[in-house]
Amino acid sequence: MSLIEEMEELGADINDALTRFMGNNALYEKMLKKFPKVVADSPVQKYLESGDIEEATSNAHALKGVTGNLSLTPLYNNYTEIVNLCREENVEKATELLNETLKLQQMFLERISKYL
Amino acid sequence: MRVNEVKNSILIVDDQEINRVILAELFKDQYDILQAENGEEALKIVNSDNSIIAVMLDLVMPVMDGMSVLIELNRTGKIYHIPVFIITAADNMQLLSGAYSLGAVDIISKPFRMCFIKSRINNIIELYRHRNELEEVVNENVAKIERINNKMVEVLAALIEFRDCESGEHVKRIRGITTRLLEKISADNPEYYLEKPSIEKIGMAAVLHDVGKIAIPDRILQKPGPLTKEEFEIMKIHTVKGCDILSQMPEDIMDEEVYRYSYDICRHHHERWNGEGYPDGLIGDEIPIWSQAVAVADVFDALTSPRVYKAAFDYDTAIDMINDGDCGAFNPKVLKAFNAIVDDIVNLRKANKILSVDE
Repeated sequence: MSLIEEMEELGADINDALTRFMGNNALYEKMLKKFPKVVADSPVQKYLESGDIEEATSNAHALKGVTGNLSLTPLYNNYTEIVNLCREENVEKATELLNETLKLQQMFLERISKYL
Repeated sequence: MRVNEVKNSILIVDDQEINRVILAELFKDQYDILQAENGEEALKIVNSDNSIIAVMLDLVMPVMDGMSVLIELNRTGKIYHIPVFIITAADNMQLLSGAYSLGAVDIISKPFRMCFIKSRINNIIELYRHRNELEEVVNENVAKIERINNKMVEVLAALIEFRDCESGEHVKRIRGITTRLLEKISADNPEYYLEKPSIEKIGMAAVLHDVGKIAIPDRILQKPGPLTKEEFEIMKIHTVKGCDILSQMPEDIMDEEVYRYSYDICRHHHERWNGEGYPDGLIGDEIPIWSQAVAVADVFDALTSPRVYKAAFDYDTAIDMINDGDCGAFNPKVLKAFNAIVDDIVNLRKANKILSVDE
């Protein structure tokens, strides 16, 4: 099984992604392998816990953009909602959804890490 | 140089490499791709690289965000020539409308919808390219009109000179002497400081100093001997008549500044420092400095040229006559500048150069 197929198994919209990457599977895989670094650089949880809503929003926003462009659809949908909750300053619900998202995200990261 | 011959890069500004790579992949066959991770890097590139034909700009970035980049591109006016596309997850309408009002041309929303992006961006780049080219053509034409206007004024002045039995070269020499004289006066005397473009406009205006002679009868203008008192009184009127003619010139031919200089020069180029000139008997710095400069230039050129009523004086005699006050009193500072540059003028005339400002 390839990395792309593994992503599809977790709910990524592969056709959408490959259209975006001009049918270039290798480039898509290369960018998928950069995803863990983006996650590490965007500690939404840390900022939510410390009450820095602004930073939490901007980090969730970054993840929303990247998961969108990588067509990691389940994560994209969640981060979209998290950004909205942060903007409404609904920290409680944002934290709740984030915890759920982190578990899901972990599954993606584990699959990707096999290919690094 | 035509715009489309030099511009062929696209600048992609996003803090996320993944986002940049997708856009780069999309356009790499068509354009050179430049990338920046934040607004500060982006501005450095925009300011140093004039090959950029479009910018794709993320809004939320560290160091300097996209809005600050837009503000700066507005300040420098670059936003008018380079289309800026906002890359965004389109979830903050307030921010987006702010970006539009700062001149962003379109929104590229994340996740990217590839089927539209390329055509939309290419269409707009084409429109901007076309507009930039048109603007260049318009600028060239404006410059051309300005050159034609200048020539028309020169021709007008030359016509008067021909009637005065001169060759038409006198007005061109007056222009050259006046601008050189004013450059020297302006450099040495802060109170008479003039910007270079103003000095050039004064040179243009100087050409018209005798335009009022069109109103003087031939029997006086072309009289081969000295004028009677009555004839001289009529001759003096050419200063005021010149102003009447100027006031009828359409505004398109002459901008306000040239008009003001021309008016002062026509009216006051026969005034003298001690108040003994005409028509108004102005004293000292009541006479505008540009009129004072043309007065000296006119006298020097008249003395050293043959006229219907006299032969040409040699240069040294003419210089002495001016310094001795034989042609009326001049401002000592103007005389000092005249004496400093007169050798150059004489050398140019000896080399048979016309002494227009183009030389």
